[in-house]
Amino acid sequence: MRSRQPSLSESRWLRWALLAFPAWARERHGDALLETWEDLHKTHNLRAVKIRAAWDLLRNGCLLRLEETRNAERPTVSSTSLSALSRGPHLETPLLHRSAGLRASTRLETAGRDLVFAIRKLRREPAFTLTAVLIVGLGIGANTTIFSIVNAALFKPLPYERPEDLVRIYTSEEDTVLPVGTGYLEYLELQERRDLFEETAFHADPTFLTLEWGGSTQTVMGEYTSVSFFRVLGLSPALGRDFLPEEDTPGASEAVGMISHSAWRKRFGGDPSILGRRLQVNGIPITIVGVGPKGFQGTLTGIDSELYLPWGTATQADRSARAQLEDRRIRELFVLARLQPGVTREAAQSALTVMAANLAADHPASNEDRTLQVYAASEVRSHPLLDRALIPVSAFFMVLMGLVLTVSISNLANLLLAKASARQREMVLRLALGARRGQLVRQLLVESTLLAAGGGLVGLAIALLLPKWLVATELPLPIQLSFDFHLDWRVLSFAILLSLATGLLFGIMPALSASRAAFSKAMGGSPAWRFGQSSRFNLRDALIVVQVAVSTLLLAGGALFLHSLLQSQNADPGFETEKLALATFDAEQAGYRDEESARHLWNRYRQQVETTAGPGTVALTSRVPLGFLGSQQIGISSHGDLLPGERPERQVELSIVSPNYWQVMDIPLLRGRGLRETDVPAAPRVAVVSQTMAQELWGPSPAIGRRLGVEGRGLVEVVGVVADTKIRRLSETARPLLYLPFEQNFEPWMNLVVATDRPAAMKETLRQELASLNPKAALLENKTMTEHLGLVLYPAKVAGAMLMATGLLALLLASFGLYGMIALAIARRTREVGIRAALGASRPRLIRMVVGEALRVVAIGLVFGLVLATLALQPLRGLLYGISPFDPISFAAVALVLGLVTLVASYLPARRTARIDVVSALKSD
Amino acid sequence: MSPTKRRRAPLRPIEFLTLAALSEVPRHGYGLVQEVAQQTEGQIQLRPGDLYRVLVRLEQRELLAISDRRPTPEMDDQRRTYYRLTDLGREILRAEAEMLSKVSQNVLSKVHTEVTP
Repeated sequence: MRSRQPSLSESRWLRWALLAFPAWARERHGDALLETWEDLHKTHNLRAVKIRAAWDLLRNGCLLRLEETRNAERPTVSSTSLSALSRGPHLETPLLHRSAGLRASTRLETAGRDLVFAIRKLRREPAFTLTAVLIVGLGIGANTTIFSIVNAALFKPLPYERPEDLVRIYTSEEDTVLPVGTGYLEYLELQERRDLFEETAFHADPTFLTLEWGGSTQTVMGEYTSVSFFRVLGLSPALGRDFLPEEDTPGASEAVGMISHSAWRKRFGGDPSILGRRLQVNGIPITIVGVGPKGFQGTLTGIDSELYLPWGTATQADRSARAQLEDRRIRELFVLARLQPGVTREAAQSALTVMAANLAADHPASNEDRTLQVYAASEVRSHPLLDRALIPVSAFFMVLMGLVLTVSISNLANLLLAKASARQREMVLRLALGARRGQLVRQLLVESTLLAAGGGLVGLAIALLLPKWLVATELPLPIQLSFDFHLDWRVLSFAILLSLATGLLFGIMPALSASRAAFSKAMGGSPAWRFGQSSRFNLRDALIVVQVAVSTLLLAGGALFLHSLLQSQNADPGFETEKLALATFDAEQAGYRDEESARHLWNRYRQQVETTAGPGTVALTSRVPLGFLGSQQIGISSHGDLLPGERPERQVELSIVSPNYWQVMDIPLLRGRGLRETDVPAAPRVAVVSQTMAQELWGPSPAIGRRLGVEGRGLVEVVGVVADTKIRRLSETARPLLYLPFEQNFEPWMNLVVATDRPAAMKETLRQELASLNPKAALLENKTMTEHLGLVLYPAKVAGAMLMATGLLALLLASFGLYGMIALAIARRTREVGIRAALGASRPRLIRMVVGEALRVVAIGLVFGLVLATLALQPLRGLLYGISPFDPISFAAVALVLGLVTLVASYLPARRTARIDVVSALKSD
Repeated sequence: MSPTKRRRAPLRPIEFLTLAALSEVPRHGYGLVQEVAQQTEGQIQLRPGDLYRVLVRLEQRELLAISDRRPTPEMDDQRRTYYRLTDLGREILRAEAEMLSKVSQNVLSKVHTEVTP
């Protein structure tokens, strides 16, 4: 069904287009004109009617103005003969009798003439024009692309209603002041504060949900919210109903959910019969009662949540949500609240500070030293910590692209300079014919602005296409990125401003210099500004130095990452890296709701795979080292059991594993024993620790037989010590790691690890074996260890690829500039070269001279660039493995590459020197 | 060019067609578009912008004016602007039509004789 179009006469676009008409005509006939278009559209139902109408209005408005000007210019019989004469064809002559309107239209005409002249000029030299437009387009495109991503991630306002009285509440430990989430029980107390808040709501971070419909099972992202969530934001479902109050209470009503607007369109084709449909989520049936607000993509920027579950349903579908009902130490909810009228954020903050103190007194174990913090919702996009992390990343990329732009526009400036010098004859001629210097400068500026505008268009096209492609690239995680990339006024004005600034800033310098030179030449003097006077360091050389320095900086960054990647590929993480295959899934999400059946499923899965892969080749673990998922830490005490509410002595990394784990992963057992099949719940509770953990807790004295208090899991006895492995990052120093047996410590989310000679083929086996056990269970991840480790290097790979690509782009641009500079220098010095040749200089000698000069300029740029790189690349230290940001090998490689490029870029034009005919060279001026 | 001369200047084809479309009754913009299309058997479809540029020009030459006479209330739409011929416009339209008719008869007779052997 076609939606009703807004009337044409109300269209802002057409109102703007109508501005082309002279004011009096617009006032007298404008409305009638729009009405006529409206009528025409109603009868004929035109396609793209707005574009047609806007064009029609613009065209005829301009024509009407032009006709007016022409009529005004033509002397009328009623005028005096004097004014008839003064309004003659010499429009440039200032006149006394000209009316203000006429003067304005003359100025318009002059501008029009300049423009037409510039277009003609540029069209006559398509190669130059195209090169210039492309160079600027690449620079502006790269910038606008990154800006549109940054814009989508940071600047676009969130679609909340009345954001000024919306606040977010976080808890934080007093000594860290890092804002984290709020616990469910704390939320209930906040909800009671009607004196401060009109209404409160919460959401949890997006989580993986297993969604089953129409016979297929998929993993999707979803969010748990309070039923008040959308209401507090001021949003309402696009279809169906919002959540009901009773749907907040665990187990009180049937399980329901809301599907996000985009998922509804994508998965169900926008079918309104979705309402009332039943889907299986994490193995429980839920009823879809609504479709989420249009344009709402979830609470975490960049991640598209497909399903919203009210808290009551969430606690049925997810064990970890259920755990928060009782435990005050779990803080995974993010609270939003609307302030009562008259209550300021500061007032709410001081009230909550008191409340936090009371909570700390009542619940010291969970709330000691904890504060509640109130943030204005407009200050927070996803989460204060994430926002804080996004800003430097965005800044990094913006700076990177700014550098590319620097190279590309200094290149444009260089091109324009070269061009201007070639046009000196034309300019001298025009000056002699009576043009003013101002007119010449204006003409040149119009040309450079036109080029920049063309570049801006190319850039905008790049910015429209590239981000979509970037986001579509597959992440090594089961998450689909999504950003709202609709061009908004910010991106548009960014591109327009950038092109204008480029055109003016980098047009004015060459324009001024060139016209100055032409001017003094026309006056009979020698040119004040000379090209190719190689003994002097001129503007063009300076521009090349800038380009080389920036390219060096970018290339050095890229080379660092490349070198770091090479290093890390040789790194030893402490376990087998190739002959392993992995499968990950969540037994609870597959519908195994209690511990016993979930454990049973995992053990059966393990046994089945073992019959295919061979005995002793299969193990379970709650976390694969160097992965992002399943990372877990736990509090321990080496002085015996932890009392309820007691603070643990320290936090260590936790991994829950099955007996064969170290054997499968090829991690050496150093002392004691590994885990056995006999370490069952009824047997004494045991643990294995890593070498570093044993060392840090007990030093040189033996670890075997020690007893450890483990938070929430009681006392365990250490039975073995294994070698260290890398856990979070390749570059880390060994961290203490505690292993607990799967049989005694349940976790529904596990990974199956298989040692095999053919890991890629094993992936399929792992999938089939699970399907044979339960066709509805979906593997969250299914990959080889090599693929898994690729993920660890992913950030470094992306950063390295970005730097390398921009560096190469900059180098390409700089080598254009270099080539142009040298070609021009040689053309300018034909006479000098001729004299030298006549005096007996040999061809190689001449080439050496030219190339040597180019190398000198490049060397200066290189030195600047390397100094810059040493200073600017320091912050990347954390991303590098095995090398420091000052890496001589990388830097030397960059210097070598630049030297080679310089040689080629200067040798090609330099060859021409030797072909110069001595006689004609001496004749040339 | 004096104002009188400008009024008397020959009509362009599109100006002639627009004035002709107003010869019977006052019309509004879209009415004019339709009438011109009908009179030219659909050969000329005016775009509103083009039409209004002509209207503005003809109004300046005092050949047409905004009409105070409106259709019967049930047919009327308050928002619409209706245009009518001025006396001068009617006079010039007639003169132009007579001239064109002579020219076209002349042409037709010649074309006719040449075609017949």
